[in-house]
Amino acid sequence: MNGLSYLLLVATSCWLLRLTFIVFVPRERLPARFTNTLGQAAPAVLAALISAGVVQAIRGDRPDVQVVAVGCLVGIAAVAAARRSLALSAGLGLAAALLIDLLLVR
Amino acid sequence: MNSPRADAVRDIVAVTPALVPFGVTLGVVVAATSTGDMAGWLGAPAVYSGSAQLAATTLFNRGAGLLTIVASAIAVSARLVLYSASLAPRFHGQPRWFRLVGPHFITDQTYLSAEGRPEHQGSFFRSYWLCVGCGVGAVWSAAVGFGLSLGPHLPTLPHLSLASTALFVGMLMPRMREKTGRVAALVAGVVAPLAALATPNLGVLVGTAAGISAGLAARKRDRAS
Repeated sequence: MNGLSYLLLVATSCWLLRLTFIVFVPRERLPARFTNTLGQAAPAVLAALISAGVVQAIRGDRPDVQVVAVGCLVGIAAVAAARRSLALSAGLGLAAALLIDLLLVR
Repeated sequence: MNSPRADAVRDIVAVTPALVPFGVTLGVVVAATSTGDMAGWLGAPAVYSGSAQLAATTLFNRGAGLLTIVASAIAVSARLVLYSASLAPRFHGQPRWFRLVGPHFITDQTYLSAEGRPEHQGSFFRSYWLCVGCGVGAVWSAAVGFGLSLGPHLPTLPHLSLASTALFVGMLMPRMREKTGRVAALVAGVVAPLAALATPNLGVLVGTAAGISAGLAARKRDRAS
């Protein structure tokens, strides 16, 4: 399967998720255990993606580059906790990547 | 009451400043992966969820398996189910075609916008929702497309994936306010890279499962005490 097939499968899955309580299941029939699980799923998967992403991004880097990369992400986390702006996180992440690749690595 | 379309346009303008940088960054990140430009261009309007597209693209590029990719995208988008449950009364009694097509536009931005316009019900809601959904979708797709065009002209950036990681950080932090969310995130964040050492393709999935279990256990303990 290529990247397009994967994305179409993900698109279908997301569409079915969105239809869940509008077309498939009346909201009142939702088991409590399922609702509880939904609440934990997003932070769990995001944290898993972050830690796996950090490990992959800095594997094989010099120690100083690793420290700067992790430090940048900790700083971005502090900013994101204070100001709920995805745009700001995106901009800072891009700036961190440029800083590391254009100034530190080269 | 304002016209539904006028309200929709106001809401599209309000969410655009936050949407564009995220979309452009996603486009730049996708351009640097092996998924291909077509997947990036079509993925934006088809998936209509930046976090799901980012998770799927990142994992595909790491060589993860189909189950991991789809399960992670679904887990990242699990909140869409809650939005679906919350918006269900406003879709009730609508034509069948709208109940099938309309939910595609459920995202953080459109959901929060609609929640701020409780006065639009029935056909007014239909008109508002289609307008805000198509408008936000157009802004989003254009932003991702711009990022995809910009990406190849940027110099080689081996650490560009930090930009997507930063976006995940931005999505995670607001979910860390509750103790159970913090426990779920902490356990998942520790377990995922450890599990990836043993089974590289399943690290995220195993970490997520461990995080959910820990979060549920913490919630149960809180209720018991």
